[in-house]
Amino acid sequence: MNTIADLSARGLSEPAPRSIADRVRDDRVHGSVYTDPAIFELEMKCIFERTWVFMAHESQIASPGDFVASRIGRIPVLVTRGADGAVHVLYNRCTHRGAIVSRETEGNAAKFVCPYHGWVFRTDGALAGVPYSAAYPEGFLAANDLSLARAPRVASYRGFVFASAAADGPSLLETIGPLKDGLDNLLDRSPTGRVVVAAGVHQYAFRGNWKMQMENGLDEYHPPFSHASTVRPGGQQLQRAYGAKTSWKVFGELEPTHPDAQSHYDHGEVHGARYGQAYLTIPDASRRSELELPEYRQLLVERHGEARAQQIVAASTMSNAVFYPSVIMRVTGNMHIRVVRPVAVDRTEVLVWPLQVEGVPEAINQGIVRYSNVHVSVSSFVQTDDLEVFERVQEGLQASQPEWVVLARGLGKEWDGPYPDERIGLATWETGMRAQFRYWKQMMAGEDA
Amino acid sequence: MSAAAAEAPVRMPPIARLAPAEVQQFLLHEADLLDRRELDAWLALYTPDCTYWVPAEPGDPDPTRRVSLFFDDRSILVDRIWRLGHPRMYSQSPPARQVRVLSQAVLAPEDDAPARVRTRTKFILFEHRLREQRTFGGTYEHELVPHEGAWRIARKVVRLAQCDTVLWNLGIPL
Repeated sequence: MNTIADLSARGLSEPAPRSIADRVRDDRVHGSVYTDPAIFELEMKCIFERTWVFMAHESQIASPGDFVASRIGRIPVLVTRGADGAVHVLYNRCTHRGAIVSRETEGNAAKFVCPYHGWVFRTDGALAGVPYSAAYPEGFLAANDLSLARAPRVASYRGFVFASAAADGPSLLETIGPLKDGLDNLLDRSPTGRVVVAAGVHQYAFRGNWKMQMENGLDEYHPPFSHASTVRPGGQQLQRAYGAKTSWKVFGELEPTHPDAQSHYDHGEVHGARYGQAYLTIPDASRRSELELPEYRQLLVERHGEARAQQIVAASTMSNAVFYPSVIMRVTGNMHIRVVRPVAVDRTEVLVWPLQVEGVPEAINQGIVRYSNVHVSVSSFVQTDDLEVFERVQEGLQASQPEWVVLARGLGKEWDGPYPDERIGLATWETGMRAQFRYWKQMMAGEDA
Repeated sequence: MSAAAAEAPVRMPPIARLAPAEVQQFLLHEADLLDRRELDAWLALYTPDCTYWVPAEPGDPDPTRRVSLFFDDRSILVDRIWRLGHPRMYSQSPPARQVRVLSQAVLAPEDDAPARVRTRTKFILFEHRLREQRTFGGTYEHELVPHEGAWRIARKVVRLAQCDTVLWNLGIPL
């Protein structure tokens, strides 16, 4: 652990290095990575516009002409199902004067007509009409590609559509690494092998940096403290599933600050791998009550056979699959897709779509919807205090001392996993954030503030 | 008069016909309890099998199949209010100050179930917290029923004008 020894010489008051990549160390990151607008601009270019970003679920664009609005970083895009059935990711910017060609968040269209001068585009992005076109110089319209710009790479994994604004780079499957297993298990637990997005969307905004939400999706250290107001005397959490009167116990007998105290969350793990991909596990099946429904178990057995069904249930330990840089997907229990949209260095919007599982008893899907109301809505018992804390962090980081933020939990104690660069720790360790910042550092290398 | 009626926050005649002025007084009282953050008294206005619903989209979504900003039965409301009293509910520290302004209630024409009064009331909710002011607007829909000698709220639906956009926390029922 030479890094730690070297850093300790200068401690947490070391000023920001000029190189942005040097603002990320093994056990700490410089506060400016959350507060510097110039770094935010570079993140959009170097991270969001280089790697794979989740766009939509195919169930949202099931029929030709269906579309949903999405973003690659701050680039507004339309994810469409063309007349040919193919999925397109089109930049939502008229090629004439730049207006967005659709303001709808979702819908079905035969074509997109720009509201400014009436230029017409097909749902695959091709330019299909220019009003009064004779006024353009001879051959001008033909000589220029005036179709909507498109993401150079679009890929779907079993219904989950991703795009990359970069023409080159690792494939989607290489990029998501271990998170593929979470998607597979999620879909294997559907009696039809499918999930759908059809339950609406929770939406919230906070005045804080986007990375705070992405880190929080891997943070099992904070719940008993940030969410203290959801813990009854005796350490029992408030109900989250409706009618569930027995809930999660988050405190033990010892005070958390006692040297021998152990977090109850540490019976789970956090994994961090290459490309910033990371996930949490919760081995305790009591959080996945749908698995206890006999008729649901029976459906799984019918689809997969007894032995395989057992395997699938036993393997369903991944809870939050955190696809860097913009999605926290809950792949068991309260299943949802949570998209993190950076707006500015200190402004972030988050959208949460509950997932509905095809072919299961109605009660399971209703349970997912109701749980999401209690867990991630703007009135929820859980998310509200996270937002408050994110804003307090953004405000606190304005203090110039100490210069650095500490991310050292579990450093040097982790063990290796099977995926490239995969490190595994106990759930309260900062293993996931460190994996995110390793990739961040790699992508931001060569940039100066 | 029963003991329950004597303890009711606002005693209203447990009769089939409720005068519009009494309905208005009841709704203003409910809004006032929320403004004053007297949430136990507020919850006492609701029936044991009540529903408190704030849809997350306009129209008539099915709250069992579509997400809501709130879709609370009484047990959720009890937990919500317990949490609002917790000293470490950080998102309400400091607490929001709120003012609700209600329009005249419009009573639905009495149908063959006169023991259930349906009202629609427009509202503006002004909120101040920390350095920020926010305004919410919409329509309250109440269903009032006689329960243990007093009128109680069996169902409240809040049709919020800004229900389907990105919002900051809504800590307190609207």
